[in-house]
Amino acid sequence: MNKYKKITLDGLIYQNPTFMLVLGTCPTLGLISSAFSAMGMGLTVVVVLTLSNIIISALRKVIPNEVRIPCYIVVIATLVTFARMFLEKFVPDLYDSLGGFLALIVVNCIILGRAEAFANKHTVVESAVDGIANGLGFTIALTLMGIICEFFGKGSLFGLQIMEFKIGMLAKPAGTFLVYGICIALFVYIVDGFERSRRVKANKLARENMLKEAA
Amino acid sequence: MTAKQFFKSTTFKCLITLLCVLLISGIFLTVMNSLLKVTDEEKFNRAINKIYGKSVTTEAIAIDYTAQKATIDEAYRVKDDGNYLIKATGTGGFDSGTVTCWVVVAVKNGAITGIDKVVIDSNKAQSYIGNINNKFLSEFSSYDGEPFDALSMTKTGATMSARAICNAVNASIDYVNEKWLGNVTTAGTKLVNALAKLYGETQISIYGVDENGADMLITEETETVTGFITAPVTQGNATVSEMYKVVFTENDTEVVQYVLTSTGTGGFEKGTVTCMTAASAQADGTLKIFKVIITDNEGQSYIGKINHLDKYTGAIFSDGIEFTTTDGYVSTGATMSSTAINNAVNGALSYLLGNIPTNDNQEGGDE
Repeated sequence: MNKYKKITLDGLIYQNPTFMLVLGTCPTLGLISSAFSAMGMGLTVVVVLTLSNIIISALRKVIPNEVRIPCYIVVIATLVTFARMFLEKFVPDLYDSLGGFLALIVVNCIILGRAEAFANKHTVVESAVDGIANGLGFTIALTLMGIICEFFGKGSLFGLQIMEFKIGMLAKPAGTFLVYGICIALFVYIVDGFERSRRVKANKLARENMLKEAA
Repeated sequence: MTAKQFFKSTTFKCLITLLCVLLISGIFLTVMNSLLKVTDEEKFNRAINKIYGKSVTTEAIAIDYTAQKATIDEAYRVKDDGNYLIKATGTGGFDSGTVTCWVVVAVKNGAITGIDKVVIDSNKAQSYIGNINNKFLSEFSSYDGEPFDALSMTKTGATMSARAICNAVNASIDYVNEKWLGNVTTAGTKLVNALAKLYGETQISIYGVDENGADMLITEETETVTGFITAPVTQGNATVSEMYKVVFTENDTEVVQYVLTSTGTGGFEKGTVTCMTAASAQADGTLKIFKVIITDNEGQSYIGKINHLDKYTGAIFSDGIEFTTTDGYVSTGATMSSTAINNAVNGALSYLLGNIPTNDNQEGGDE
């Protein structure tokens, strides 16, 4: 399999940071009561994660192993501060709705995790692809749960009121926790099922090849 | 270790790398800050757009005003429509926090005609500010001259934040009224309005005391009001701060009552509840409660659940009697606030029992 395709599929599905690795749960639970906030947070993480992966990968041979974590944190904090300034200037509504969670991206374990686990061992291009894939995996997961929570919890979608019926609990932390758990279960079930059927197909093909060779 | 060895060591390399990363980050953020800084003017224009949906011409006006439960941060006269745009911060929110709002006070022919819009700007420590919905904020448009009271507005699930917003709006109204329209609210008017909550439509005469200690009729025109209590008095678990005499006619009989303002301690999170208690002296030396209302509270998140105040009406108070939560003077879900209310009522009535002017004792008007 093409290595970029593998990196992309890992970030989006097989090692999805939200559903498979259960990373970045703090902003997930705090923001998925609104689809707009969830998507905004996801896209901000895409930018910060991609840039941090690129910078850390580019500097991986310069930064001594002993001080790599402090250096990563400084790079990530700088990018997050820049993201805050940018959002405050150009997207103030999103800046207001993300509140304190925006600054907390600095300690989001997805970003430091990818820097440590991937970017400091791979090339700049591979790290950039990894950052985009993981960021998009996080964004899709958050937006999906944001849509579910907002639709059933507030009767609206991206702030647009659609129906009067609502289950208020789903727009509150306890409800978002419940939705998060159900989404993880469903996602793992689907990915496992897909993997199982792929393995069955591969085994069947191998058996047929063996039989052919034996014949 | 020699200097040469140090400069070749990993420690030196680590220090230099860290310093370089810090320096580059610092320079980058400094440049970005100067490029992306949001100026005060930009912030103000954003707020205007949020309120009006378009840009309007405004003129900054002097503040120089002190309100009791809010501060006026900024004030503008909108040239397009003649209204006043006030940025006010209301206190008394959840966890002693505040809510800052933009309030558009509509003015026509020298009088306030209503509140055009209330937009929340920011808050401090208001965890439930998200519960403040448009339905609540739109209620401010129905202004009838009376101060807004969060308890009598739409329930939001954020009573304390709603109270802070009401404080900000009320202060904005008072500011425009007093500072720019010249309608100074006299102390007499404030007292008459406050007692109207107890007596409704009933025609009452309110008495305080003059400088000689004699009864003095208080009307809306009275500028300086002095009650029977000149300085707050501690009575049990309460502080009694005001006492006035109220006289009215019922079934051709003159009724004399006393209205006391007291603040009871022991509420939720060591907070307090301030109540107004109206009571009359009986021929047998006891007191009969006419009505109890809540006028203020500190930190009582569940004050909206208080529903037992009617139970006090007609109750008899004398030496040795105290209203307690175990006797049924309690509202489910607000036990601590109920305790503070009982303390306030007990304190007020204990004070009244020992301080009824002799010529009014044994008044049996409402018997």
